Amino acid sequence: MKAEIQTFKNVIRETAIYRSNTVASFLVILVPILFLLVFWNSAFDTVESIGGYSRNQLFAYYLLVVFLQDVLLIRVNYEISGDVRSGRLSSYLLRPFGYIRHCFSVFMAVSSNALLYTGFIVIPILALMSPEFFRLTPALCIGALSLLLASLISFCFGSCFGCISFWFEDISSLQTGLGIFVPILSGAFLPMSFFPGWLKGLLEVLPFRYSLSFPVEVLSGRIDTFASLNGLIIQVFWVIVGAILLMFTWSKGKRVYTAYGS
Amino acid sequence: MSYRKAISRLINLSVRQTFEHRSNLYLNLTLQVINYGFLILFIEIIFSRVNTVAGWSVDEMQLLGVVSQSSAVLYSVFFSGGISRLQESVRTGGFDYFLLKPLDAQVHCSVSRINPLGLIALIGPLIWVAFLVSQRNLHLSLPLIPVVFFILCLGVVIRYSFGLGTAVLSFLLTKVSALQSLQSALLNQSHFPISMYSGWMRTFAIYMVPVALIANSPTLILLEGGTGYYSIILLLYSVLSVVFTRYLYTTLVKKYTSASS
Amino acid sequence: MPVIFAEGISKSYRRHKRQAGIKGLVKDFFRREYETIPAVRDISFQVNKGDFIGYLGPNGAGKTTTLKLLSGILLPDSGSVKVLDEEPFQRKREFLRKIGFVMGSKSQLWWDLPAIDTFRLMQDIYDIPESDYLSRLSSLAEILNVVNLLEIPVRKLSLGERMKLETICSILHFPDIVFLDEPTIGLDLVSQEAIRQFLKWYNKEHGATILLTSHYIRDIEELCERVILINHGRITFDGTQKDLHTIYSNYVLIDIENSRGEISLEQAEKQIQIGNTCRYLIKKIDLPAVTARLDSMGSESRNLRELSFEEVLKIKMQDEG
Repeated sequence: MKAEIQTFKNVIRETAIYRSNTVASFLVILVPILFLLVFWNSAFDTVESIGGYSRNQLFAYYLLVVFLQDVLLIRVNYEISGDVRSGRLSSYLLRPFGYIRHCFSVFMAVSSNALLYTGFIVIPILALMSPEFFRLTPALCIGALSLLLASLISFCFGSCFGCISFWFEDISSLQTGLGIFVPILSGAFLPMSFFPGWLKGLLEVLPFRYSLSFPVEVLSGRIDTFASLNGLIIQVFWVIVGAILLMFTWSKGKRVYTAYGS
Repeated sequence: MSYRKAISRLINLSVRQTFEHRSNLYLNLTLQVINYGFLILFIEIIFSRVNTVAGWSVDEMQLLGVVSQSSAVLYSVFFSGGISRLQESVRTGGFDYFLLKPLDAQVHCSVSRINPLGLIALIGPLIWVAFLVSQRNLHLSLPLIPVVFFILCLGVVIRYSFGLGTAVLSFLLTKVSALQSLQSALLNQSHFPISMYSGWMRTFAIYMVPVALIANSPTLILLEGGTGYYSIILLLYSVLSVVFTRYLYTTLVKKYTSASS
Repeated sequence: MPVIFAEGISKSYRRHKRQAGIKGLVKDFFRREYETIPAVRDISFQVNKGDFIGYLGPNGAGKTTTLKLLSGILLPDSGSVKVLDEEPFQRKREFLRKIGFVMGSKSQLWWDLPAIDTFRLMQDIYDIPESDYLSRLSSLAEILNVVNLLEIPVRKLSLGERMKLETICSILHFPDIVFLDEPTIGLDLVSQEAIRQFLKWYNKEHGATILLTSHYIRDIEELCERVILINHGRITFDGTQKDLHTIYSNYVLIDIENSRGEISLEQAEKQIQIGNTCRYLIKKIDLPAVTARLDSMGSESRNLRELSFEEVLKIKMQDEG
């Protein structure tokens, strides 16, 4: 555990060194949401409810998205593909500390850091708007668990994606695509209930929903306890699938790794 | 030295470099089309539940989306590659070579990754406009298209100024990738209608960071034949931003410490 | 009239001081402390046209910073620099046309394209007439034996091949002054020799002034008549190779195995420990007294020799500025 803890500390320290970058990272998530809130505020001028959400409920949804998006959404794919392309992976392979373990430590550190920075701003606003979030209810407990599982889903599938670099020299466009589509399909810009029926149905059977939208819906109390527990089971399923895929791509990828560029 | 020759050579090399990774090019274009498709879908989904937002109909919002996307494509084709390169080269020390050439380093870097092939991404939005005009009877002031194009270019100039202004902060700060993403995220909100802003948000989005004007100005001219006030603000802002960014560059380049050997 | 005139130039860098522990981390985030690291301190020297100068020093001595100050990449904090009668930092177009800079660890060739494409870009930037461009490229490529590599994408070339092409790229416009920062770093022996011969040719053929930094002694020995040594940002020596040899021509080195403990020699001007061996720098006139002392102590094997150029440089590089 010592190596994981030291990696964790190093990442936290790095965040403190690049202060403006850290603050800007948070604002990058906040800015589109802020504009969306202004947009929705206008939309609610003529109606009381849209897609089953009142004005306050939709605002709370987006605030939770801001809070959790930086924590949950994929980033580890950039790290892994960067290490593979540049040849930096070689130095990790020589250490008695698994590379995937290292990536996981970095991922947890970055996510914890993000929780701290965004929570500092978002939690007080949420507490003012919807104090009922902070009562110890089954929703809060299940929500916390679903958050952990969502981060594991993000990590496993993100890492698999990063491992594609073992076979393709340049996946920057794919990464860009992922950066565009995953937030959309995870419900970062629109709650799932707004999507047309065919898309909603499709997303029920894919892991995207369970990496962001599902924990947000649980925490905001929009799903009853039974459906929440059902969702948890689906999340566990996706974590297992993701982990198996990751083990497979990683072991295959290591064999074809050429240490090009080092 | 002929800037024209050097710049046309840079464009030539950029195109050839893009073709070295053809699959990347096709993928990028596809992503742009799909991204634009999602924007249209987003608008359709919202307007399936409301009739208007801030006084804009679904067709007008989609036209605004087209214009916003076009502005983003033009910026991406002409400047975004060069600006990323500036930031990266300052970080790695490669900017030294730009400073050593008898060609203004800011100009050299800014136009070093022009990719005309990216203009293909404009086809989708233009087809959608044709659809809106022909199938949904959207009325446009077509004789004003040259003016619309000019105003659109002013928006691109403003994107360039913000992009460059953030990139030159890398002379001072070690890591500006998130700041770059922030200014990009901010200016990418240009597809929202101007009438939705009020109070301090309106002041911010029109006069401080004119994200509300970049796409709204040309769109309003297309739809209503003109609202000179916003266009004049955009013109003034673009001139001032170019001057200010140049000043920022010449001041901050003196702080360049060049990554060590 | 010197082509390079540096008078009292200094340059420092600001670095943030890391604070330990969680408290330090939080404090660091809100109120950062900085320290100033001097890279170059009060450096003065002149270079005449056609000189070939080796600019040496240990890592972090200030060699690269000096070259960047002279080429206009960096602005000095104080002092005055004139290169070809211009202030480099003004970066006037005519000035930039007359200098070239080869950086061993950085590249200006377009990675995905053949080098010839970058050369064409240089032709346009430096406004080289077509006939001159073709004849120069032909002669440079032949001398460096890279004619067959011009049409191959740079990413597919080895490091040595790339360095040769980088050198051509920086010299294609036939500058009057060339700065080279470790141009042979990481190259095999054959490539190193090729670059050396090329630089010798360019200096002789075109009367170009060349400033070279390198950690390879052969580069300095074969190319540079004059050597400037820098350490901790200050010049510790400025003279010819011969002058450097002469300073230490009255000295010898003695290596003594000291498995029974360190031997103290009061006549030794310098003493360094290398594993089980202690190396002493001693004046020749003190040799009889030293030998007598060592004999009386019954010291084990000892190795006595004149200093090689490399050893002279090593000793001089350890001189504090």
